[in-house]
Parts: sequence; C-alpha cells; structure tokens
Amino acid sequence: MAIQYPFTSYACPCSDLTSPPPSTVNRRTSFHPSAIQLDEDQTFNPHSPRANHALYPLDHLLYCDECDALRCPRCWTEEVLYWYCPMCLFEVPSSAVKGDGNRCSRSCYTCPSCTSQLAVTQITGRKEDGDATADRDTYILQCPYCDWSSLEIDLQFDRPTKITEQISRLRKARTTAEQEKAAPDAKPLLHEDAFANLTTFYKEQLSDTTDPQNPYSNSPYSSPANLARIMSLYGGLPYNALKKSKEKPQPMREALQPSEGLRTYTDADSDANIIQQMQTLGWDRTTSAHQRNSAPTNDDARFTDQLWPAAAPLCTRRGKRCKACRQFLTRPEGKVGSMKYRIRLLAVNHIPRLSIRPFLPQQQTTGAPTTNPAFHLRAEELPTPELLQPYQTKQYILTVRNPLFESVHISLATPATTPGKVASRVTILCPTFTVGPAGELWDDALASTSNSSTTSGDGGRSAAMASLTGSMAESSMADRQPEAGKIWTKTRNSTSVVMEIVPGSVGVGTTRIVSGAEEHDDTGGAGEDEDVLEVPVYVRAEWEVEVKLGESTGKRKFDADPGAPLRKELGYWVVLSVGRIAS
Amino acid sequence: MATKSKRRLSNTTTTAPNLSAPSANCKLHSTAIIADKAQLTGAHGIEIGEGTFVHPYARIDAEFGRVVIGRGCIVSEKAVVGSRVSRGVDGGEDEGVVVIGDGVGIEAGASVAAIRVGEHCMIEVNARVGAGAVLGRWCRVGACCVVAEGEVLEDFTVVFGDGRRRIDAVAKGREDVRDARAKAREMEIEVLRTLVADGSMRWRGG
Amino acid sequence: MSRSAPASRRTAKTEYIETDTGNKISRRAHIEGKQNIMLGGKTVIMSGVHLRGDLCRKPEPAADGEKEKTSVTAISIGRSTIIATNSIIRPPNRLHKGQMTYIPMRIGDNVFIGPNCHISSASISNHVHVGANSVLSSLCIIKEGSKVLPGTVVPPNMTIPAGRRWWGG
Repeated sequence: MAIQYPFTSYACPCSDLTSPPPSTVNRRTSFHPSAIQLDEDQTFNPHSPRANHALYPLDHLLYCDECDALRCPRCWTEEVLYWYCPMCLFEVPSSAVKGDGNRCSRSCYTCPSCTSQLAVTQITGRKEDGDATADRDTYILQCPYCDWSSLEIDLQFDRPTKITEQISRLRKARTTAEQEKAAPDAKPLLHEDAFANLTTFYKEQLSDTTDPQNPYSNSPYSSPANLARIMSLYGGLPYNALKKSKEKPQPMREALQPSEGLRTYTDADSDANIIQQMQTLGWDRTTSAHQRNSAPTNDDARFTDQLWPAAAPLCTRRGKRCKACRQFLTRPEGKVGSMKYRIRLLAVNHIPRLSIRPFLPQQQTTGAPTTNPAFHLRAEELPTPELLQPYQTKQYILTVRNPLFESVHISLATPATTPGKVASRVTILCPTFTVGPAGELWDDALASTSNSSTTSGDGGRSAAMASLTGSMAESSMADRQPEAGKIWTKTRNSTSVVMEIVPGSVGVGTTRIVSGAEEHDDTGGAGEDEDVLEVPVYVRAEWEVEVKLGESTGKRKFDADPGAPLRKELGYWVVLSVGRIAS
Repeated sequence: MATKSKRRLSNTTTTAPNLSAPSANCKLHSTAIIADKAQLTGAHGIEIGEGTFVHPYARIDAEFGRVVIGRGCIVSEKAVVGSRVSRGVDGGEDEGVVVIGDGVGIEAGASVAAIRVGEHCMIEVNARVGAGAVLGRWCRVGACCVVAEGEVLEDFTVVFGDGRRRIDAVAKGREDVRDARAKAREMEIEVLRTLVADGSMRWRGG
Repeated sequence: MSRSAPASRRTAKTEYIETDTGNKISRRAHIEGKQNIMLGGKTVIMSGVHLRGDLCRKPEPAADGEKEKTSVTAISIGRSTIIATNSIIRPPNRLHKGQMTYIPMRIGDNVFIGPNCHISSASISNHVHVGANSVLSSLCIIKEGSKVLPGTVVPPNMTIPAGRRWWGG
C-alpha cells in the first residue's frame, strides 16, 4: 500500500542512533535550532541505513512507566500466556502442548494442498461394496477451497468426531503394512517413528550417562533400571552409590540404530524410480517445501498424492515485559477470543504526540481531513502524492497533542538543515510552548458546547484562539499570518505551531551546508528514499506530577521533597516525513 | 487490469438494467428463472436452458456473439457472461460465442468470456476466464483466479491460490462424489426458486 | 430496514437516505429483500452495494392456527458499520440435514468493509476491518477486532481468531 505523506515516526531510545538526550540540564527551556547543530553527532539522521530499525509509528510503541522510557519490539520480551487453536478456538493447556506438540488434537486439519481449513463431510455409503456397508455413512475431510479431499489418499472415517485418533490409527495401520511389504533389511524409518525413537533415546541418555562401551551393553544389565534391580538383589553397593563412584560423567553418545532413532539413507525407493515418477507426473504433482514442512506426516512426501492433512498449529497469546525492569507492559486477559487487556501501557497514552499537516490558509479552521488509506471508500479515489518543489518555502502546522493529565512544557529542537544527502532548511517558528492537560473524553464535548453559545461555528478552537491572540475578529482570521514566536492555535490539550520548510534539491549535492559530515554514505548519487524529506525533531517534554506520600521517588531523576511536585522530563526523537521532493 | 474491469462493471450496473433489449432470437427455457433485475443484452441472441437461475444484476452480454447457457446453471449477481472481444474458433462464424455447459455455477463478480465451459464447472467469486479459453468438465476456478485468454483447461482442473493448477483426482475417479456436487447445485437452484421471483417474462415477452 | 423506511427524511434529493436510527443508505445501493435486513443504526451503506436480503432461510410452514411469520432476518448489521462502494453482502448457504438452507449473516458494530468486497461470512464480529477487494467466502467467521488486508481471499469455513491480521489468497 502506498505511503501517505506526511506522517510521523518515533525513535526508540534503545537504538545506537539515538544518542542519549543532550545533557539533562534541569532548567533548560529553550533550544535554539543552531544550538544542536553544533553537535552533529547528536542529531538523529533519518536517512542513516539503520534508522528504519529504530523508527516506529507511535501506535507500535509501548511505554514503561517504571523506567520512564519508550519501549519498542526490541526492548520488550514476549511471554506466552496461553495456547489456543485458531480453528476451534479452544484453549490448550500447556501440559498438553508439552506432551502432544503444538498442534490441535481435536478435528482441526488444514488442507495439504492449499492450507485452508478442512471440513468434515459426510458421504453416503456406496452400494457396490456389498450389503454390509450399503447404508453406512462415511466421513471424509474435504477442502472447500481447492476441492482436495482425504479420498485422494484413500482416507475415510467411520465417525465425524475424534478425527485425530482415527487418522493416527489409519496411518499406523498403513505404514506398518507398507513396512512389512518392504524388504526387512531396508526399512526406512518414518519421520514420526524416528522422532519418537530419538526422543526416548535422548531422554534415556540424559537421565543415565552410563558408558555405552560398558561390557554389559548387550546384556540385560544395559538398562539402568535392570541394573539397579539386580544390584539390590545381590547386595553390594546400591546402584546410586555405584553411579556416584564414577569419576567423571561419560560423554553422551549419538543414536546408532534405527531403534534409537537413527535414520540412514535407504534406497527403498530408488532414485531412478523417483525420477521416472517425476517425469510422468510433472512439476505440479511434486510437493513444495511449504507442503513438506506443513506437518511431520508430510516430511517424506515427494508427490502430492502422499500428502496427509496437517493438524492445525496452535496460536499463542502473549504478554510483553520490559527487558530492563521485567514489568508487564501489556498483558491480555486470559480468555480465548477476548480482546481486553489487564495491563496495557501504550506509548500513545504516555508521550505527547506530534502530527504535521500542510498549512492551508483557506482551510485553516477545518483543516484538510487526514485520510487513512485503509479506510478509503472508493477504489478510484486514491490521490497521487503531491511532490515538494525544491527551494519553495512551504509552511506546515505542527500539532502537539498531550495525552497526560498534567500540562506539559514542550521544547522542540531541529537541525537547521536536515541530515542526509538532500539538505532542506527547517525552521520552527515557535519552538517552546505549553500544552494543556488532557481530560476525560466528555470534557471536550462540554467545552465545545459551552463555547458554541458565545462564538459561532468552530467552537473551542476559535475561542481559544481569541483568548490567545487578543480579541481577534473572525474576519481577520482569514488573513492572519504566521509569526515567529507565536503559537498558531491552541485547544485544551493540543497546541499547534507553524513550521517553515525549504526543501533542498535532489540532484545537486552542493546545497548541503555542513559538508563532509556524513562520510559514511558517500555512495555517490541519491540512494533509495533520499528524496524523502524527513525532519528529525527532538522533543523535550517537562511536567510536574503531584507525588503522593509513600510513593517511592528513588528511581526518579530528581530528589524532590516528599509532597513537593515532582518534576518529570522526557526527551525523544521524532521524525516527520513530509513528502518526496521533486527531482 | 483487475480494477479496470471492476470499474467497468460498476459503471454498467448503475445504469438502467435493460440497456438494449436482446433480439427476438432469444431462447429462454420456460423453467429458467431470470430475475427481474438481471441484464440480458446484445443482438446475437441468448439461449438459456432448463432450470437455469440468473440472479438479479447478473449480466449476460451477447453483443459480440451468441451466449448459450445450459441446463441447471446459476449465474450470480455482478457476474458477466459474454465475450467482450470477437475472438473465437479460427475467426469463423463462432466468433465471440460463449457456450456454458449444464450445471455450471458462476459466482458473484466473475466474468466468463470462454468459448466453452464444460458441464458442472464452478467459477468462483471475482474469477476471470479470458476470451477464447476452453474449460473442460468439472473444472473449478477459485476466487479471484484468472484463466488466461485462449487457455485450455482439461477436465477436473482446479485453479486456485496464486494461479496454481491441480487435477481433482477424486472427482475424476468417483462418480458418487460428482453426483453429490451436482445434487448440491440442483438443491441450491431449488431453494432459489422459492426465494427469488421470476422476471423472465420481460425477456420472453417478445 | 424494517425500522427505517417510513420516516425517512426525503426533503432534498440527496445521495443518501437517512433513517430514524441514523442509518444512511445510498439511493444507488442495490437492496433485495429489504424486509429481511436489519441495520443497527448509524450504519452507512454506500452506492453500488448489493445486499441480498432475499436469500433467507425459508420460514417454517405455519402451524395450525398460528399466523405465518412473514419476515426472517437474513442480514443483520450492527451500529456504526460502513459498507463501502460496490461490495456484495450475500448470506451463505449450506446443506443442513439434507436440505439446502441460507444461513442468516450477522455483521457486528463498527465494522468497516472496504470497496469491492464480497462477503458471504457466517458472522463478522465487532471492530473488524476488511480491506478493499477482499473475498470472504461462505461460512467463514471473523472474530472481534481482526483485520483482513486488502485483496485477501478467506476460504470457506475459515475461522479468523480475535485480533489477528490476515492476508493472502
């Protein structure tokens, strides 16, 4: 899907690219854009090859309120809370997962041909089989999408329930019959059997590290249980003491026989045979790697007519923990199908959100509706993205929205020219301001209704504007010009400022003001996405929290007196992707 | 390509249903049900067999050649049956002719321009069968799959997924499975008969 | 739509008809069997949408003395659901006890169905997002909060668990 400009993304502090926030001086209130320019290393470069691994949309980030930091998928660990089958939506206890593997043991099977869900279908008995089976219904697994059915491998069931049991029984019967047919010396072990043998072998090896070369290896004494029994029968040292008396543990040996799970090459199906079969059946009838890996039963399948239905792999529901402090960042409710969360620390609810939109003087009251491409209603509606013209000053409205219940002091810092091959000039007209506190949802509604009685039309926003800019008449709103140092608009929990951007030229490399700063990307011409105008902005948010008595302040940066408001501070890099520059 | 064809579809369905009355050489069987809002257009004539069901907003387009639909078929809404180009056998008199066999199901939004669709085929939602293609018996074209122009599918072919093909060996080998499928189609028509009113009088009124 | 039709505001000839409960239905939507369709309110049916309410389960023949039930629900759509242009909503059918019946379809609240979709699901739970040009084949079940990406074919009988993203086909 095409990307819709402009959008914003947030840098997780775990990345090397995000330098530690520039010195945490307490009372530092203003950043002159050039102040940060002095230290080029500290500017987040969104065009760095690794920047993509540090940037996330705000919705994808979590926030650890113990560590007071953003958390991205690389700085949380996931923990399985429960397993469930995606088809029958039953929870599978972890003991069953450990015992039977991560597949549904009910009647949930996927089609080996196209992976969609198989349905148990009833077919009425055929008359030709004689009288006994004439009226008996049999059941098959059928794929409603590609018409594969278990009849293709001649599989029919007597009952519509307990399919797993019936399948394993039928498979066992069939494979043993096959094995008996084959020459007794060249019995290829089936995958499941080999796996079962191997597991038992290694379990034995783990529990008992007896010497495989011991003289009793071919005698009844080879088994430790037997040996223990015999030792206790004849007295002498108890088996455990004997075991302890061994000086050092013997190295584990590997499986040596088929009974231990060893599988060797057998030419039961000779290569010539297979090649000939391949020639006659063609490419479409051979199995793909995906099909062979779909289930253990299909591991050896070479042709599509050897594929068995695959039991549905289970799904998990996972909680996420902060890697640093191990607290849960999200923890869903432990019920299959429930989308509720017990704990959910979203970054959206904890850090001020930045959004950017073009400044359009005509539509300043309503603003262009930002269209989410996922919700477009007509296929033909998608607009072609507008390209930015080099050296043409464009103004943008940068809105900071505050999700916190305290009013937040924001300082924005941006390099005067954007890092990367194409240097664009960026100026935020008002880099420091305050954003009001967020309230409950209905506060907004109440505020706008009370305002609408006094002001016409736009309600809250124009009221806020009027209070901000002096009693400005509605008519003068239209030709109001952005001014340096002035806030553009302000609502209860959001503040907008104007930002001026002069896009650089894509073709010419000499427009860069700071030359030689980025030696690492001296690849010559503009790389992929070098023409995307991306503005790194360092956001510093400061606010005060009422400390409740008894709350630990040890982890805080500041040692405040109990009772006094606690000053909190948060800094993070935001990258505003403004658009592509025309070349 | 896909969006283009869809756009064309949406434009036509929003216009009045009866663009141009098909000519008098239409042969609609008396037991066929053609919903009131179905569209039958084109001058080359349309033949619809016994017990066939045409849903509302389905379009049968005989503008470029005769369309023959066999017995016991279902044509769903927004499906288009008919060749958009004059392409046929050797450019002869069969140009643009579309022949659909008995018991064929054409699902919603599918477009069928094949020269011949064998009996008991199933053409799923939004599938496209290009002009001049020939489908054997008991084929199945999966949802959103494409059969290219002029392609020939042998009997029992299943087209699914990303254009993968396989032969349905079960249907090939077992008559009872085939019977069950044919029966399901018949039963569906049976139910539809009770639910949707016949509007074919308009087309046969003549 | 049984709650809607009589009191619709028809002052101006706009594209949409608004019902009492705030449903907005395009005049260019193709609706069959409207007596069998229930809309929860504030739901938008856009132009070119096909709603096949006529494909319903046949009402049982009336028992002696009882009045025959005239309407059955074939499609029920929850509140604040959007069905975008040219989508087809068609109840699925299946063989049940040797009889072919149409299964009533239920679409939940706050569901978004993109343009040019084909929907034959058995049920779509709340907050589901279906991208453009998707095909939800018959009797599939989409659970709460799932997202079907554009151009996906969901095969018949498939269950999509809650909160999953689904694509392919």
